[in-house]
Amino acid sequence: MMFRSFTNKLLGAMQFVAGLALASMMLVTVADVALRFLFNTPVRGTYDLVSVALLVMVMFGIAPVILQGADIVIDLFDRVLPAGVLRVLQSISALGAFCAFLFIGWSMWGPARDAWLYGDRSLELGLPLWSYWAVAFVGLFGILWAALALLAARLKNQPESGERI
Amino acid sequence: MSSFALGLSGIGIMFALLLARQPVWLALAACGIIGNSILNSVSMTKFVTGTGVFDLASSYPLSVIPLFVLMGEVASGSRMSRDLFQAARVALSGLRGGLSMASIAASGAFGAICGSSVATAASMTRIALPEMRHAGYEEGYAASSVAAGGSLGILIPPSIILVIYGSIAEASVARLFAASMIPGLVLLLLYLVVAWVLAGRAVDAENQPKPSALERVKALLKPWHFILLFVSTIGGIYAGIFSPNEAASVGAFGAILIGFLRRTLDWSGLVNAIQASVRISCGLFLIIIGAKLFATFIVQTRLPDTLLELAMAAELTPFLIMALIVVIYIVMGCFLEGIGMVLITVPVFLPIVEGYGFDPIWFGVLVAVLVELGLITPPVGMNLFIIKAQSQTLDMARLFRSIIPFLIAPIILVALLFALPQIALWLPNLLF
Amino acid sequence: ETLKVSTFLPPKHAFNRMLEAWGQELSDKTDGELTVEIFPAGQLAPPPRQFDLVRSGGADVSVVLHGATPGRFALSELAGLPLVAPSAGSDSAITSRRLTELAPDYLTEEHAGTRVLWMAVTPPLMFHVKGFDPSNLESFKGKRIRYQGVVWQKIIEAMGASPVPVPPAETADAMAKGVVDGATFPFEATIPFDLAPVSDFTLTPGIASASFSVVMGDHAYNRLSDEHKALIDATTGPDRAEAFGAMWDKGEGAGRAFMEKGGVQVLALEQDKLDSLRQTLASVVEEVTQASEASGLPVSDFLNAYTK
Ligand code: NA
Ligand code: NA
Repeated sequence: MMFRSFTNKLLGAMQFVAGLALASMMLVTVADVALRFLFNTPVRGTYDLVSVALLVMVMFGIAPVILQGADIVIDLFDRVLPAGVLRVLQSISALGAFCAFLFIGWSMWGPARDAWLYGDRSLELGLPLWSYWAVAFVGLFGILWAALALLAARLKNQPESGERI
Repeated sequence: MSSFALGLSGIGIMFALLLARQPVWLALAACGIIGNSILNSVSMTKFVTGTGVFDLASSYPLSVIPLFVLMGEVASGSRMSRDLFQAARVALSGLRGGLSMASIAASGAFGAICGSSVATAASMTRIALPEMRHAGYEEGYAASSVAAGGSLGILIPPSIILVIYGSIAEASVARLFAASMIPGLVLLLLYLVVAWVLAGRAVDAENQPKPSALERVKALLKPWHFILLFVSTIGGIYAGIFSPNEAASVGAFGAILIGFLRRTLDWSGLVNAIQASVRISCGLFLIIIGAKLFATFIVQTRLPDTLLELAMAAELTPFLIMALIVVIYIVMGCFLEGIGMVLITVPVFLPIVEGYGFDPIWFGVLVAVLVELGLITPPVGMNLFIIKAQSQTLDMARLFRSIIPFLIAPIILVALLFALPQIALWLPNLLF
Repeated sequence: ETLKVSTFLPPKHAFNRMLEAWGQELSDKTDGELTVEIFPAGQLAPPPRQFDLVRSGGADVSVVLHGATPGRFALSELAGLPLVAPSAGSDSAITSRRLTELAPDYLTEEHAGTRVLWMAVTPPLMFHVKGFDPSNLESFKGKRIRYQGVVWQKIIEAMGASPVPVPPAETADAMAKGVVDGATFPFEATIPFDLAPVSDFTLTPGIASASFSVVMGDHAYNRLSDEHKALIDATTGPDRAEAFGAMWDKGEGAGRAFMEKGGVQVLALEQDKLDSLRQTLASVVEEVTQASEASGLPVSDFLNAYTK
């Protein structure tokens, strides 16, 4: 049961961070607008901050979606399919998600290394881009973990992997 | 295998995976990655995959999507959709099918602050469906009016579909929003007419009070907080005060403020709204990522160019080509999810459409209407699924049958857009 | 043999027309053995990824905008510094040719993994503004100006205005509504982005340019027969750069006519004011060149050769 409890803790934390990122995206933009109206000076860096917040939200928010099976499927035939077949198809989805993100992670390694080697920087604030990639890899770890947890749950035929975390 | 045949097989396998219950994003991503590897090389595929995922996930123009989702979630969590439904209900009371028309009108109004059709439909189902059931409405009719009304969420601005279209077509999002406003209202009216006509058979007897004209107007002004929110945020886009991104942020923030001030929103409600927005947005981003990988593959098979060459060889008139494109969208819309459809088709069709002298803004509105139609066409219609998911007793086959008359409305609108392009182009040209 | 060409520019842009013409020439001279296939409009990758796309083999040829990846093309980018141009003039035909001529000596290292086919420098971008007289440089204080790229960000700040990043397609709307008071574009771009109806004045001369490389991946070049390699070498280089620059210069004329016809007043900055602007912008030039010099690049040699 340690596996499940670690999974829930990890993904709960990731969902929390993703929510925080969404809230900061909103607040940064509101602050920018407010300063523009009050002092007629736009904040330099809104563009960069919103982009990085979006990256955090997406990379940390996908793992809970995968674990909860909340991604959009066309479940037209669910009622006519035998439970066994359904379970096999769902296990394939979980395995497929794991493989797809494993490939994505492998693909991200090259450009991430380039960003480090070339010292690439963001356009507005000059933030080092390798730090963006580092964020993406942390999120990716959670996504892979979630896909594995989902696969384990499907294979063991546990009802739905996630109580809503 | 020629790249043309490879492209066609890719599309076929993608559909097969969808029907085999694989998540939409996974079907798209898997076919994109494998197709690209066959067509080019693994190293090329790795490059477009690694950079593509990272670039989409950190794309400033796409950040408007979670922000508009958040605005809609907060508004729905703080009972704004309920207030709208009550207002529309009083205003339309006494008319045959009044509750169904009220749910369509309220969906249209809610669509004016919510960027997603699915969110609009989900929010309105919870409120309107029980009321209609209680009033003895035939269940298929009730559910399909909510499905149709909910689809207005992406045509009446703000609209996630138009944001994505704008980022592909390099078109101004503000201009696209202005262009879709009048078509959105026209579609709202068309849906109301359909609902009214159908009510003859589906509604036994209405014994509702008939309020006076003054009472009706008063009822319409009751959701003033909604009107305030709409004018001060989405209105700001048209007035040129806000970029779409700013309007979405200020709108979400304003909805939270209003919710707390009216005590219709508390801390846990806010946390729920944020978490739901993250979940919905990340589901959308998964599909955007998958569709991008798939589109990169399809573009390189030269499938679109080949199709165009075939059309040119057949010496079709521009009008026939446009008709062909519309038919392709309608057929695809029966089976595909909207965002994926836009990401795959627009890069292909837009150069053709522009080449024949059609306006890209007008085409954006046309695409939004066709995507909207796809949301309610069986067998794969996201709005139908959403409503089915929230209503245990409803039979899917009956819902499929009842929605058919509502499909007439968007088809009439498509015809109108061709006959009178000005209904899309007049407002943006006036405002900008 | 088909060369896969990627650009992030719209299908009818000068770059795509020139690459098409080049492909036609290759095909004619090889009886159709060597052709090009163009994927425009960022279908394969967005602007900052075009160079790596070619390096990784995702495409054989692509157009690289140096400003999209600040720091990666530190020497090439210097061609875009404010009020820096060859003594012969700032026409694109001249600047593009000069930069291409310098490429073998100075720019191969920052293009490692690829071969430079030719370099291109835009005609200098200028201010198109609404609601104030830009020939009075003081009036820039507190204005909001749309920009793209780090150098322009610094220029606008040095002039006392606020740089605002607005996507090109949104610029006309942003100016019409007063979200920004002006924008920086070459004349040629005013037509596709429809700036004439929203601008009152254009200030000449142009201030700073954007620079590009057209590159071919080493792996793609090595894949070709010796005969085809020789043909690639013969059809690219300084002459191609000059011809391409001339296309751009012609577009400048058309853009200027478009603005004037639309009622925009084209103002020329007086000499003394131009001198004072040059002084203001000297700090920008210094900041950029010092950063590159610090990383051991032959900045002054290169600039001397470029401005000769
Ligand atoms: Na909407
Ligand atoms: Na459908």
